[in-house]
Amino acid sequence: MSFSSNSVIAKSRAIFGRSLTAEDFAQLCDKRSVAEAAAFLKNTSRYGEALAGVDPRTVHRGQLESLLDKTIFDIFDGFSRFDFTESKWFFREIVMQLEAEQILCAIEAVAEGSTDSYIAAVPTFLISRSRIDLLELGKSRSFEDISRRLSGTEFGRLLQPLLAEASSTGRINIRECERRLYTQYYISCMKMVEKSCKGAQKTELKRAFLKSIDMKNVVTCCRMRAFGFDSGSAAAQMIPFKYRLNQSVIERLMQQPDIDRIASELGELGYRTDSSAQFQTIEQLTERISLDYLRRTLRISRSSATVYFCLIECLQIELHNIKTVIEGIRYGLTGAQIMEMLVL
Amino acid sequence: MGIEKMSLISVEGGAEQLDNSLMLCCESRNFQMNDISEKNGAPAGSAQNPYTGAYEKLRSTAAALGITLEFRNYDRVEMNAPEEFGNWAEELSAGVDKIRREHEEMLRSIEELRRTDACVKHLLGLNVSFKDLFGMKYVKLRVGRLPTDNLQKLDYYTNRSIHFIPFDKGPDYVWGIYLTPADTCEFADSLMKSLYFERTRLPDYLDQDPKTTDEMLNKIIDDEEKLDKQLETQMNEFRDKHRDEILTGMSKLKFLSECYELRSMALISAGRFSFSGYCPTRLAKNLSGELEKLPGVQTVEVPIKPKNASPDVPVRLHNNVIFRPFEMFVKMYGLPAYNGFDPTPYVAVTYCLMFGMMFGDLGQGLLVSLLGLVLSKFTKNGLAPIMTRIGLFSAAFGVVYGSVFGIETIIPPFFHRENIWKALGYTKQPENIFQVATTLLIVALAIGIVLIILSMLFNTILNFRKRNLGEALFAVNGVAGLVFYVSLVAAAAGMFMFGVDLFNPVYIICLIVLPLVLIFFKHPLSNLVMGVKPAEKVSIDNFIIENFIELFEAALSFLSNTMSYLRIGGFVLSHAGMMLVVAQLAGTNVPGAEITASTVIVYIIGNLIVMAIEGLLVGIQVLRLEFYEIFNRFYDGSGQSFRPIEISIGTDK
Repeated sequence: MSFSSNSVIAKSRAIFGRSLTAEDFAQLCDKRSVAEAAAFLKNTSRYGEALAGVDPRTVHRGQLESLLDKTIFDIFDGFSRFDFTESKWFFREIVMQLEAEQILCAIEAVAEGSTDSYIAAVPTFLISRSRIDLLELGKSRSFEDISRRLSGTEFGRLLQPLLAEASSTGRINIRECERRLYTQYYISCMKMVEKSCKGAQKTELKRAFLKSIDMKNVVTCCRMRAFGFDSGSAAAQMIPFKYRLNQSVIERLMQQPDIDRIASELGELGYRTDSSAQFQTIEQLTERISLDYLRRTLRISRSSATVYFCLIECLQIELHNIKTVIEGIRYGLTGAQIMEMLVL
Repeated sequence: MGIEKMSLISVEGGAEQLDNSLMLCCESRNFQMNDISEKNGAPAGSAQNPYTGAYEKLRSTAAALGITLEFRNYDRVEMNAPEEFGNWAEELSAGVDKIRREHEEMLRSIEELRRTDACVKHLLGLNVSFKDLFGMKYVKLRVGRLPTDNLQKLDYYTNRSIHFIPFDKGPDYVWGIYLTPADTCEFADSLMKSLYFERTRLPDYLDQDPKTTDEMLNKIIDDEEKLDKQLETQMNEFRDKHRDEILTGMSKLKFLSECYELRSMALISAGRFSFSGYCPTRLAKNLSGELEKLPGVQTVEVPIKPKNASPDVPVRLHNNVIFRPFEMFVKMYGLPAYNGFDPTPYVAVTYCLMFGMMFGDLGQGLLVSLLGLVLSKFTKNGLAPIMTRIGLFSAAFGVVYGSVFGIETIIPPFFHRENIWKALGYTKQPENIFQVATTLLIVALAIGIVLIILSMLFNTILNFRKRNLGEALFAVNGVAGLVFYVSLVAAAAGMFMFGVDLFNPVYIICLIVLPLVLIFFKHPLSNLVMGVKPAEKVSIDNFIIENFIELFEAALSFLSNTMSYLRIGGFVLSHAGMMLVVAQLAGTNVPGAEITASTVIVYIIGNLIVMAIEGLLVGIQVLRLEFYEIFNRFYDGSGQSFRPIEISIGTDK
């Protein structure tokens, strides 16, 4: 079996087993301040170690989120040290995804003229792992600066025309930058799947990746519809890989008036979730569908690569949930209101 | 010996004597009250317990004083009314609360000072006074800590008029100050906040340099700690002065409170109370006598006969001092029913014998016994007295096997006696126990067969006693099963050991097939013998399938249960094997080997390891044999434990 052995499966499931439960989230949602939430997370097995040195009474919300990000990143980093086979490429792809996020932040900071905030927000755990000098990127005061600093990298090649255009017009097409960067990320991932896996393992991992991409494309499609674009424009913005999401499905999805109808349309495609659940946003619906699939696959799959992929996605959803809770607490929402916003 | 005979005592009298009657029953520690929920009349204790408030207050006072609760004799306590206890509890609690409040305030102040000092300590490299620093007009200064990771980001803000001076660097945070012009202070604060700088606000009274401030804070902390010590001494004096008073008072209060709670189990009607409960018959007379001494109180004592006993009669085992520790195993499985049979003596004998056989070593056995004695003396562990007994059996079998701490040259083993090895059919004297392994395994099987037959006999007799003729005659563990098993074993033994073939048609039909047919038709035959109609109609297909499976399972269980006893022989060999390894490690397995200090050390460590591992394993295996192979055949453990009403305080009763 390529991509390591049963030990990766066992370790992945053990890490998944330490996930916060719905009951944990209910308790977290009932906290009335970020300090209380930090104190709660400090007592969990997953985040306790990373928050050990933090004083919950004084910790800043951004710092807390950054430490939570670091915890998850360290898990993946740990895997790349623990497993000496193909898990390394998974880690490289994770770093690549984070680099893409940082490049977009840098471009936005230049567009908004607030480069100081970019430097402050750069995750320090990524600095030593990134192939780009992220802090140096923060010194950019113009799109030319960014273009110069990214030259020689695959990101530079992708963004060069857009940055050059922005230098002359003063406006950057950030959505196109995002599409190019994430498309490149998925192309890179799929190339690695093709190269590193074989047989049933490859089929299963590809299916997992493509299902995840389908859900992201559903979100893009619904957002584009909200902004008044047609299905053709929406398709152009999507990640160019599909599992069940063909053009006719996209057209049907764009015609649906609300989330319930989108959920039933997705259900017909085989993307089902708890029919009694209520979803407030399209992201909540797609993440819930993904989470159902990921949890199931994580438990039953015999392919270590697929199990590891599912773990990555599950941890990211958990992290997203925690950040939602912290934000909800800051905005003074009740525990029940916050719980409704989570993907559990 | 066996199951204690119980009597039902009904108590009746004037309502004013209820508390006194309950107190007497409590004090006897041998009275289990009956639940009145299914009877008519009003429960006597429906009002709120008036003693609870005072008791809870005293409990928190005792906890604050660090007093461990224990039950004390309270004869000298004169208080009785709830109000008296309430006032006393208030008085004590007020005294404690005053000291405790001062102590808590002091602790808070010390904590605050320590926090400030911790911050100041990080700035010890600074040689300027806080007064000068914070008094600057054009430059503002902030003290605090920055996440260490973010230190590298500060290089990118060098042109923003922020100068950070680190003083102390840890893995997570770096402590220091930053200076910034007063007019850009707001921007600097916001920027540093975005880098998660945690500002510490120092108290205004700190106007010296950090070193002097640190010394000053240390002195204040020392002074406050001394004051706190004085408060602690006051608290200790208060505790020492009032400890006995609190413990005796609480004991009486608890007693009164629990007696009041027991009122809910009594009935009051027309100014008279009544309650009933079980008491061991041998003590019932005494208790009735004591109760009848109370004015107007009458009792009726009815001994409960096992034959007519209802299933809710509680059970208390009563065995002599030799067997008593083994009650623990019986209780672990479940107490026998009141009209059942107490297997404790049987368990005690079989457990000791099997343990002794499987862990036979004179030295180790005596050591286990000694350890059991010591543990019994200093702990309440229920296993300790069992260790004392099984250790002696282990020692006795050690003599038979000729093993003393694994050394087999001190006492000649049984198989070295000529008459024995010849009787066992050996042509020459076996050198070690491994050469008599087959005999050992056959003996183990024989023990198993005897124990299985005994268990089936017990089951048959018990069912006859209960007039449960169907179970006694036609069950797998009844007469039919017994005949089948004994016949099969006898025929097998005759064939393999004595060369006598008993398997002729008459023997097979009468003693093997017929019992199986009876077991197969157990349910209809039982109904016929007992003269009852079947509870439900079963189709012929289902009847055949169900009974065939049951029969198959029963036949299989005879085989597997018998084989299960092979472990007795197995462990004898395993013990010898492990001690052989120890001897090899010590280098004493060859004749004439030199005894050195290292040999002795290896022997001691080896013996300890073998005792720990094998002692535990054998103990568990024998218990398994008891529960699965023996109890399963005759014992159901459906009895209810006798729970006399008792007053408890803390962990003491």
